[in-house]
Amino acid sequence: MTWRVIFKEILENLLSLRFVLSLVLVICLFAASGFVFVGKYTDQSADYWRETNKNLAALRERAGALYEVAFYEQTVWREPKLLSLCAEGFEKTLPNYFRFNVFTADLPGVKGRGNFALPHFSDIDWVFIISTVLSFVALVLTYDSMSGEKEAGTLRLMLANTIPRYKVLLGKYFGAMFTLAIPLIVGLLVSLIIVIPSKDVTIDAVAWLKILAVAILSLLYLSIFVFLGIFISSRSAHSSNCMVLLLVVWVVLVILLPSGGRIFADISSQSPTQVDLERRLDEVGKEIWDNSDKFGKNAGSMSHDLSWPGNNPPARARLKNALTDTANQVRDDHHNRLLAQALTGRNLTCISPLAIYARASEVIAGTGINRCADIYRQIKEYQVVLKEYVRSKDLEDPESLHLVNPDLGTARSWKTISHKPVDFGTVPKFQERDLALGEFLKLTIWDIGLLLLFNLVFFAASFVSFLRYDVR
Amino acid sequence: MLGTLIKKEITETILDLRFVIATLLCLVLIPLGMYVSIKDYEQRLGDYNTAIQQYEQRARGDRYDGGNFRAEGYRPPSPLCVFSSGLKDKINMRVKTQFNGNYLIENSSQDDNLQAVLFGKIDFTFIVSTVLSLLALIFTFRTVTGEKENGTLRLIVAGSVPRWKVIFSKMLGNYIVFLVPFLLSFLVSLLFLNSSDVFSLFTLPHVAAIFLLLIITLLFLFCIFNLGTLISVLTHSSVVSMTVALFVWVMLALVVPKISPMIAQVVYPVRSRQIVNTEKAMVCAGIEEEQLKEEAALYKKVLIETGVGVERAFDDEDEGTRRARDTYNSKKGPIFQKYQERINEEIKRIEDDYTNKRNFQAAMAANLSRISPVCCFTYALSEISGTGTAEVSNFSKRAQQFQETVKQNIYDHFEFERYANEYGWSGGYRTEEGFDAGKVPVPHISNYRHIGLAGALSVCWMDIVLLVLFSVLFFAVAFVSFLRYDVR
Repeated sequence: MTWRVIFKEILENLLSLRFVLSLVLVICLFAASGFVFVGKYTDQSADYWRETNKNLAALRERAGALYEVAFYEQTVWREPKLLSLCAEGFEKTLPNYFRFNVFTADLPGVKGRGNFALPHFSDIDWVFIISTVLSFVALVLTYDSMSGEKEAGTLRLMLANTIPRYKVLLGKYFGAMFTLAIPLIVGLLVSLIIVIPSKDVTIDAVAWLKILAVAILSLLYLSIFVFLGIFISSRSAHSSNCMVLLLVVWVVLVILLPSGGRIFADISSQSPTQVDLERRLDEVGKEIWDNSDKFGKNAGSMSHDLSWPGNNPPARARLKNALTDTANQVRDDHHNRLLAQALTGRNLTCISPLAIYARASEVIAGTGINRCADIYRQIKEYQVVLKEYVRSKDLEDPESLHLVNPDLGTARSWKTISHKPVDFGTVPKFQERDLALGEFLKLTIWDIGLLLLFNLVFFAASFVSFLRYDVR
Repeated sequence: MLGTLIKKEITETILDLRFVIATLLCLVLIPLGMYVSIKDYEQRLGDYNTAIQQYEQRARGDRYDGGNFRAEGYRPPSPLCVFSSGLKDKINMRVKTQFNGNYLIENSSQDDNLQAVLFGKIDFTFIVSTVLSLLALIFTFRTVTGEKENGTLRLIVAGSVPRWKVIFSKMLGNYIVFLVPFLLSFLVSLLFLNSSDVFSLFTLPHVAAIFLLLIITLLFLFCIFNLGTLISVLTHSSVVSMTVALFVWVMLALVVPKISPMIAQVVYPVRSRQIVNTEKAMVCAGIEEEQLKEEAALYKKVLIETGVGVERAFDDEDEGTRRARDTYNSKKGPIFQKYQERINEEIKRIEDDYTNKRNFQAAMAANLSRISPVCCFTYALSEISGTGTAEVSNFSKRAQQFQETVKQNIYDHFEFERYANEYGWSGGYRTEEGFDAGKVPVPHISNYRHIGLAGALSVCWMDIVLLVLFSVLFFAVAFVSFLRYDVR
């Protein structure tokens, strides 16, 4: 009997104007998304490889002297991700390059992005289409699932038979889900068909698994809105009232709450600014310089002529290391505070299923703010590895003073770091690593759990509501 | 009769659930959005003042020593950005002048906007263009079809009521009811604005701009009301009317704004900034290589003429080498000048070419998106609020003037020298005789004026005209269609 209800629902939906409009709209959007992605991905990949090769070539040149390897300001760019087709993750506006040497790392920066003057709206990716358009379609398909049948008089006829109410409910749910799955799957296929033939695109097994994971997550997300639609429909006798209520709920859940993250973030803590950072850096630098004598006599002064009696290389090295370490701490603290505030705001918006879905999709696709934060962490680890390499190679040179510190002037004139050449093949190079499976699961398990919870809550609500629904 | 019909529409709408929801949403969202925007503006203003203070401290500390000083100019945030964020987070705030005339415009608060990136903005423009436009369609989608389904439409028309009065009363009645909560919440927002310490509401430019913003908003809402009524007239069932209205809203408010930049990028691709920077670096490197060759040839010639000899070019300094280097340094000025001008011209050419193409792409995207009244409204409000492309151009012009002023007052009193010494080629700035850099006041962009109302209107007049045209078009089609509408 449940299957009969499901088939009836599917047939009714397939023959309705709203399904046709939805299908056309969704397919066009997926096609546009795929088409634009291919061009964009090709350009971004070309830019990325050009800049990466330029960085490596410059590093190779500097392998002629170990100290130049230490002081070379490497620039690492964020590699464009294939799965940004699924979840763009604010890629256009999040930091995309990282500049650092062995001693210091600038805060992540934004460079070379498209055209800032383009109209102020972000790209269409799968997450946008599914989270906004398809969730809207879900409500349009289900707003009159109960109230519409009641108004038509068919609900009481159906329940006059020996069909349990829960079967009717499940039939409507699965009917709506199967109907929604059609534009979703067709849209995904259209998008993939456009993207796959591109020569720059290679989808390996892991990527396919991730795409499947995003598709399943999408169904979980859409299921929330189907249950929501059925619940609201079973609370009212009039379809038009249901539609109005559902639209308001949709606007709140999909548009207002995710955008309200900024309000939540501001309430939770004050946003640290670039101006604050510069002021703090000035303050800590001045404090250390004013007390430079505690690092040793004449730590604050130097001459390039090593024979000058006032020079004190070890003291100078300690001073410079203290300055750099403190500045690094200030920058890291600033970066962590920015990140913490943004993530707090994001966590607070997780009363919206869209925010949960978007976050989980970004983690699966390997995009978004978590990735930025992870790359920054990896760069810090790489700095440590590179510094250790410089130290160990420096110890092999008897002519060096073995005082690895961030003062380029003394490195050149005093040879605080070895000037001997190194084999470029042995120099550690930065390579971005994707999140490990454990980390990936850790980041998404809560989101998946929350989506399931939303489903359970709305299912329970619609179940209880329909059991008590007056079908006359 | 018209008055009676309007009263009937008003009464009917006020007693409906939609009015309650609209009132609640307006009274909560608009003042809340304004409150958040005011806080954001206050913070930006605080940042601006702090940045100026820090710059002055740095400038006084530098003492223009050896030409290391670089004048900076800052742009204060536009006060009306509380109404529309627009391009606020992307518009640059600082100009860094250079000795060679190639100033840099940059955003001094580059990475402290993670929240803006992740969450977007709930400002007045967003609330009106997204939430209120949807509410407006909800108000109107069954204005005709609902009455038809109830059977009351044929009763009204069966009386001697002209059809034009019926349709007119429906449009006006719903619109008037909707305006009440909107205007109330707008007033509350203005009260919040007035209570802020950093915003003076009652100045002529602000009053005029806010008044214009209000008019444009009312025009936009009227346009959407006409659209909703049109959809209701073109369909014969509330369900179909609602479905069509909602899909139209999704297209206009969500899809068109996003898809038009994508189409513009495909139709008219522009090279990335990385490629442009690479091109500039390559061109400069090529010219500098030529310059070095010419300077080296001159140095060689001087060494031979003074009898020092080429092999002693970078020997320790003695009488002979000092004389040779002084002779060379006095002669190489025109060469340096010539190549610097070439470099500046090439950089300017590449940059102008890139900027023109980028602006063309942006204009194409904006024009494509103007089929949506939502986009027209957003552009108009952002220009008037001083967060649109007109303000970007305004700041660029001021930045250029600032650069020229600083160059005239300070940089032209320094001369860059590349000279030869025992270590090879070195360079540095030498102060002109008689010029005391310490006596020159720290340069600022003083009395910065954001784009005025006239300037903004000159850019967004088309958007306002389009809103009027859309309103007239929707009304006209709805009117004509209703005259032929089957009321049975």
